[in-house]
Amino acid sequence: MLPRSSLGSISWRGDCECRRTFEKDRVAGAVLIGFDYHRPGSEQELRRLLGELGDDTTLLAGGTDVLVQMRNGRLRPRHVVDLAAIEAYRRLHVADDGGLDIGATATVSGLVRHPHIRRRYQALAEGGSAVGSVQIQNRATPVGNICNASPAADTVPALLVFDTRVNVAGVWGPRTVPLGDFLRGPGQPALTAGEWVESIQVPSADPCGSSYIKLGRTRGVDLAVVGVACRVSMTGAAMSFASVAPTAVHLDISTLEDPAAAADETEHAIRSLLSPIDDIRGSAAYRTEMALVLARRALDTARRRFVAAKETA
Amino acid sequence: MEHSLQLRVNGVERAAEVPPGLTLLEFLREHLGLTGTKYNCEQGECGACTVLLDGRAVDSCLVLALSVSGRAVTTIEGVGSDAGLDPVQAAFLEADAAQCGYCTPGMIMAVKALLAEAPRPTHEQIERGLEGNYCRCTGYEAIVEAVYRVGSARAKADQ
Repeated sequence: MLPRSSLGSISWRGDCECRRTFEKDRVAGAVLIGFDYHRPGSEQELRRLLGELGDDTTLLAGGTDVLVQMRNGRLRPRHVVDLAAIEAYRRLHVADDGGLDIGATATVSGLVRHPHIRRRYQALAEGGSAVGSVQIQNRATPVGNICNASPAADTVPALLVFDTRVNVAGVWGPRTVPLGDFLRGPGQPALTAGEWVESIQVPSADPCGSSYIKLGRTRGVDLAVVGVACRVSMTGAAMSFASVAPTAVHLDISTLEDPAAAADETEHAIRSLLSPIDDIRGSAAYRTEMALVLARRALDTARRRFVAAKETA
Repeated sequence: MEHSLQLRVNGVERAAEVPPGLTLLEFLREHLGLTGTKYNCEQGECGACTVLLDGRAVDSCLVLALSVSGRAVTTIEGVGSDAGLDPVQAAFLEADAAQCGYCTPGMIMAVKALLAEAPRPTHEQIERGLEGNYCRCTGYEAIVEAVYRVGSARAKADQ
């Protein structure tokens, strides 16, 4: 563990005046220095601010990724724009048709606890429960999770099997992107300078069964070695995998009718979809094998839950 | 550049001018002298910095103080009093749930948050609730025992 004095994000902009200004922050006990903090009270204010501040700006939602990355030097923003004061962004609304409208700063915890989500979007509640720990879930946000765009993001596979759409706001006007298209690569959300994600939208779900299973190295706070979400409904079935490719990957298994043939076909389809790497959490080979095991379990659970959902619908 | 911060800490309104990068953890320890909450991993993994924010457990190392201006924080110093120990603290003592004690403040805050949601938690619920709190000394069993004791004492009291 490094001594505290050597941690921290320093972004000197060259001149001595700047350095003296931020040294005061360190004297006040702050390890994170070198940036200005902004807290717009409305979306209009946010828009104006982003127009003024320029590219070296990071948006702050829950902070559970941003602060870690600022501390290890991966993120060195000159400006941090905190979304905490924009009331409208905290929303977690269930639409009349049962679909979800999740604002930029709605927390993972809010998702996990929501009775409607626990009943109708089980994989999403389970994905949320798999994020870090209760402490992290109480601050982290699904929108932040997708914008951070880690291949291991635990909310993403469930969001994918439920056909989530991303509402992007920005200086060029609003646009909506399917989540699969929004995730371009590790740490690469499809956002240009001056854009941000205002909310995500999960379409209404027919009675279905879904499941998310995460394999970690430990029961504690850990990134997924593999994560699998599965959804089974009248209209079809889908699976999505975390930590086995540069982004989460998605597979429609609706066309696989015959269970006996389906097993081999599904396995082949999954193997072709995955491109895992060896890393500190596991080897590519292990990830592939575990993806298949988890896929089988997630599918079984989703099927069982679908049967139960049909009976109570 | 400093900004105004207002925070209700253990029931007391506090105001200060603080720099942007000051975390809630740093504010509590360095500005308020409340050193019960601990520095440790500073990555949101170990839970030694756990406090309650509007009653919910959070890792204070991952919260910018300015981000939670206007809200209420409870630290370990706000648990129990000179008049007597909180039941969770008493249970920790009875069950021998602290050895070096470094994880204990954060652990107790997480337990308080857990019991507020699930007054008589199952083993599974206890494991889930304490996933974000690491202990290198006890092997966790005594801590789980302590939580069970609070739960069953409460059940007896309710009967």
